[in-house]
Amino acid sequence: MLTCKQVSNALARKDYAAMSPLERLGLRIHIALCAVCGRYNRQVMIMQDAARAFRRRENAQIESSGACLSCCDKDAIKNAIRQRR
Amino acid sequence: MPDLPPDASAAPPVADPDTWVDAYGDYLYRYALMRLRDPDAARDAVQETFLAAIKRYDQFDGRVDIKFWLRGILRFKVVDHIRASVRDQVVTPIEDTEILDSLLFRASGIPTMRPSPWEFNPQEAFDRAEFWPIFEECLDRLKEPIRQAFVLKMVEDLESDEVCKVLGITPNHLWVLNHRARTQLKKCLESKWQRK
Repeated sequence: MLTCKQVSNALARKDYAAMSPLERLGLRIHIALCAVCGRYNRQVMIMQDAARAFRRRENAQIESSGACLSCCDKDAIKNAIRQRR
Repeated sequence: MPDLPPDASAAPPVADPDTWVDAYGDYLYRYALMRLRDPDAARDAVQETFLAAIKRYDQFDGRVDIKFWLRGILRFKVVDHIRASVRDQVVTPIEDTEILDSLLFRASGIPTMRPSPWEFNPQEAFDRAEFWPIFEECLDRLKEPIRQAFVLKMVEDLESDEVCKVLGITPNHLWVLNHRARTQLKKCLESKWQRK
């Protein structure tokens, strides 16, 4: 049986979705049943879900963003590349 | 017709820097800006990416879109920039040592047994496209190095050890930064998403 500390440390180290199915199962069972760390670690997992969803959506987000390099910046970069070739 | 060497047809076309900058410059710039927040640093990172790409072009095997290959190089440049900016930052002492020293944290690795519940259903919000610009806005509001820690660990998905090395901090300090990032992000998201 896992301890709260093991569960918390594992979640601090890595995204629960990246763990092995067995690790994930142990973690989920502990968090579902634990009165001490269950609530807090469930929120840690929610933020991991958010970050993962953000990563997935980021491409669309980037495509729709208005920020862009100015013409001067682009020309400067092109020049730098030409000099280097 | 002369015989071509067997790999000649598979070789990618010669890089034309002008088309690269026009085709991928803005995309890479936005990617860098989201992570570095500083337009000058983002522009520099993009330039360094193209220069590194020219040098390493023979390593490009065409298996991924060149855009993503460039983005892969940019990732390293972004981390380099964060590492360099941290060197100039005044090291802030950990203010949350009381959490780290608390009996609860030392026994179970958590700061509180009763965190306040989310004011909205986060999983439902994650499925809505309108949620993500708000998420990015809230992420932008975090102070450094809280934001940097979150970006490296959660967005770039780097290993904790790696994040600690880049930021020059201990695992406990990283934990505090991520705890603060979670708390502040949640608070910001709640205030902005509620009003929708």
